[in-house]
Amino acid sequence: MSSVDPDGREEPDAEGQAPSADDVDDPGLQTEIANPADSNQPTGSSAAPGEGTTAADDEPVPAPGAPAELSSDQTPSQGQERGGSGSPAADDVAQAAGGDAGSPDTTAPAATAPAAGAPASSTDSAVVAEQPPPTPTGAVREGAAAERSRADKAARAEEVAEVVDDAETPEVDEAAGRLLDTLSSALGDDLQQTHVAHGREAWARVSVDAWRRTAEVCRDELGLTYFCFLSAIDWMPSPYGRSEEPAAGDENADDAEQGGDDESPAAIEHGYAGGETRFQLFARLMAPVTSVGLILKADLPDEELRAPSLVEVYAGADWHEREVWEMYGITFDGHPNLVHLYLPGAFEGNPLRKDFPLLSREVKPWPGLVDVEAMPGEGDGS
Amino acid sequence: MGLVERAKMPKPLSHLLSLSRSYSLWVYQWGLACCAIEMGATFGSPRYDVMRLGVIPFPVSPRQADLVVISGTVTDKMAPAIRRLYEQMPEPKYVISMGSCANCGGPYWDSYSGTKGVDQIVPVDGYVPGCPPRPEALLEGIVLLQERIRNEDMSERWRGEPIVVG
Repeated sequence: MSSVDPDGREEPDAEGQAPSADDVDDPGLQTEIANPADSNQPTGSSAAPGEGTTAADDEPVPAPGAPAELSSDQTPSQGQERGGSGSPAADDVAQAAGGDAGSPDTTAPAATAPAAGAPASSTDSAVVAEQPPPTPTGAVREGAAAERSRADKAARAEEVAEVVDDAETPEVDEAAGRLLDTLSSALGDDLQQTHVAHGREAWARVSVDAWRRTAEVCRDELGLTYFCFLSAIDWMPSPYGRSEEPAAGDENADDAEQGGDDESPAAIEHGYAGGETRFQLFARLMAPVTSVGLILKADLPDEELRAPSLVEVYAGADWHEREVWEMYGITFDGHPNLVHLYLPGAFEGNPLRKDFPLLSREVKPWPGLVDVEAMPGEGDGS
Repeated sequence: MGLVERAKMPKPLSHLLSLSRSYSLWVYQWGLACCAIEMGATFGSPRYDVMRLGVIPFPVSPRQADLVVISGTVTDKMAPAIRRLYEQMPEPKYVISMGSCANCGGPYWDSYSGTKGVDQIVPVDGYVPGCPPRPEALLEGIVLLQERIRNEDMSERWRGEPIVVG
């Protein structure tokens, strides 16, 4: 989570300012800086990019009422703007939690105090307050109400998250955007696809021919000098189906079997930054100074599972590539010592491929099949 | 120990010798996974105080050990090393398999890399079930093993059934 050491906060950070209570005009930040015991997480604007998610989660959302008034003498415009942006959710919360008792001004401080600290719990209380009293029409009505309150809750959580994201995480996305811009200008068409999400690290998919050049650009031009890991993904659905599915004869088992045997590309779903092939290389790099990370992917053509080795760029890639080589059967050109790392020397096969047969399961089905119960949330819970 | 193995000694003498052996068990620790934590608690902590049973968990080498506790997941990669160090132990030697993984593969019964029981590699004298077993379970395994050593007829050494705790 937090990789910023306490001393680092004394020095100018990425934004070129040292966060102190006087310099920061955000009331939430002021309270956090003045009371470091309350939160030793770096806050949104002082945090290094890449930590936006946790910072945003911890950051109180100012609501109309007391918090905005606190900030009004110092930064009225920002306080109002933040209050305005945060108001739709927080206002509802305040009204719902406060009910009809008294004026909004008097209820707001009490009602928004928990809302500021923990948005999730505040939405809970709102949902509870909104639920209609039980009626004689019975369970159907209650079920519908529960359904509605669940949808309501999800919508509210989304809304709150959106507000928090908008307020707190632009720096992260800017940093990721700058990273991807530089990468794009250095690689040109070899940069195939990128993905940026609020508060998350950027994903970039490059062509496998440019795999090593990408690493060099990342290390030399982008400052991503820390090699975190390298792995691979086999996107093919397991041809054996999900072992947890009910035994043969059940309709679910038939479905799973059909889905598993069908190895058409349509059955493969890729994650962030997409892809087309069954195997993808997958690596994460990080800049230790700014804590910005970048996740690289590369499609490997099905007919030739080869990739250039990164060992000469990042020495730490050595064992990772050996592991990927033995687990997935992907060869790394230029690797100095491509021998087994985890597996015994005489092992045959690539055990992390989805079509690797587990002999024990061929002989004996998964014993958990005996008592299969529906997971909570699946079906009607019966 | 050639005399003991041939079982040619007078009964009182062999009884005395077996008694001594049972209360001077130098145990070699082979911790492979989470069971090693429980084994460490058993052998290393004053709470369970294994030395009151005459078990000495200090050998720095298998060549000084009478008993080895294999605790944790045995993988195919680790198996040759276990076999090699077992062969370096002097006779008479005993093996306790601790935890489900070492007993039979346990939760890794369908793994591509797990050995389905350490008894495929070395003969096991006692099985301690659990995932992981409590230190008390391991202590019970050791006590039962000591009881066997005390009453052991060395000429019958390999014919007995293994001890199963619990």
